[in-house]
Amino acid sequence: MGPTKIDNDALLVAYLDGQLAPEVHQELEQRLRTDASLSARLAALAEVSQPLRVSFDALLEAAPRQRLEATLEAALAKAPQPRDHRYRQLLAAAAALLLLIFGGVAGYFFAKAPIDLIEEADTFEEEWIAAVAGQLSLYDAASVASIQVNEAEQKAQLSKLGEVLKLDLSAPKAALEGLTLKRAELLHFQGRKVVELLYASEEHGPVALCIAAEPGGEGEGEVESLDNLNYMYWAAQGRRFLMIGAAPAKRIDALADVIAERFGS
Amino acid sequence: MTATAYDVIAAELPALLPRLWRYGLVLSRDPIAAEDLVQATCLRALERSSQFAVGTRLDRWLFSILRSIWINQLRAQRIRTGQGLVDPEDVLVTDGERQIETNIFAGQVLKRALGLPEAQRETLLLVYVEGLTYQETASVLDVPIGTVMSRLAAARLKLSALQAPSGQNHDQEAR
Repeated sequence: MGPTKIDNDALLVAYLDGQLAPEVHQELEQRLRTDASLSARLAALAEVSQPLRVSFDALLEAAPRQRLEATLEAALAKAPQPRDHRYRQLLAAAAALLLLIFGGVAGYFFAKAPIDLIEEADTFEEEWIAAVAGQLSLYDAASVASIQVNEAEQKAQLSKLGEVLKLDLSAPKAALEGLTLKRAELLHFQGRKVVELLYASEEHGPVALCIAAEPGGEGEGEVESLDNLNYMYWAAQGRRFLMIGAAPAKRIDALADVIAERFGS
Repeated sequence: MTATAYDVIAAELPALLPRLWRYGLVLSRDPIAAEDLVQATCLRALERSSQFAVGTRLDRWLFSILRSIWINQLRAQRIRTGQGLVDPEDVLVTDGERQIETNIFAGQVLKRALGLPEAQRETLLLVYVEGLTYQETASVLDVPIGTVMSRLAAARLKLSALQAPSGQNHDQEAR
């Protein structure tokens, strides 16, 4: 294909797409009236416009929406809203002013304190829970049930994880009635070690118990929900625990009780 | 307080996910790689939210991000690991069993379109399916408008051969 012909085709396509400047458009129409081969070429090019959109729209229907949404949730947890610096400065100014008024001049020197507290506010819990929820929502009952388990390997893995947490995580301690332990892994979240035990439940699909060797943190003491999952979060003896799954709140509560009793509440 | 770029992105992203996935599929011809692309795109968009100008088209901005991730990371990786060659016939099987449902003709057009060279099929998608102007497409793809036009012409000729298999012997490729 010579360069002139490419130009012609490109011109014809732009004509069909209504993207030519008016004077070029008119000039081309003039040529099309007299040049039979050019108008045949136009006809060939014009054939396919319509079905394209319909064809590609079928792909939208096929998109794995639920998985994509879970992916977005995980991304939102991983890349949280940046703090607004202006807002923070304003807050700092307000805090300084308040302290100046109520605490005299000395207050000025402490004005930074409330801001530091805000700065260091513990967002680990929230983000961690959201990340686990995002990950868990990628599984359904069938996918978690299909994970193959090698008992010897699992035993060794549990003992390794127990060392990380400084916790007796032997098979009986990790076992939960009505659930099958499918996977035991050491994960990292925001630079902190998190052990995740993934269970399959015939009734409810996947359930996970996560333990972070991270002191601090406070739970609500009751089952909360996020997306379609229920979870119970609590902290005990220098560790944080998260029991989470698509099971009903009552069931999550009962499972959390069992774990809390074993590992300290 | 007015909404920040982050707020806008977080609010509008959910509705755009299927279109991002489709663009990822058209580029990679692999449903799983398309999911990976959407994931990386969401993350990068949120991390770099300050670079998005509120009031401009978010979908165009996201397309550019997705494309740059594809070009710079996934494509090279897939070619290295030998996953780069995908039969367009296989693309339409999304989860191992369910064939994407289309009427027969639309299905043929789609297969044919996915069989085009990468540069042509993505240009086709952006202009005829996503409705970008030539100028917008040129800017997402970072090529001159003339290149957009010649890619469209080449793509259309190949696709029209589907309807007129015994028709003229159309010339190939114009990039």
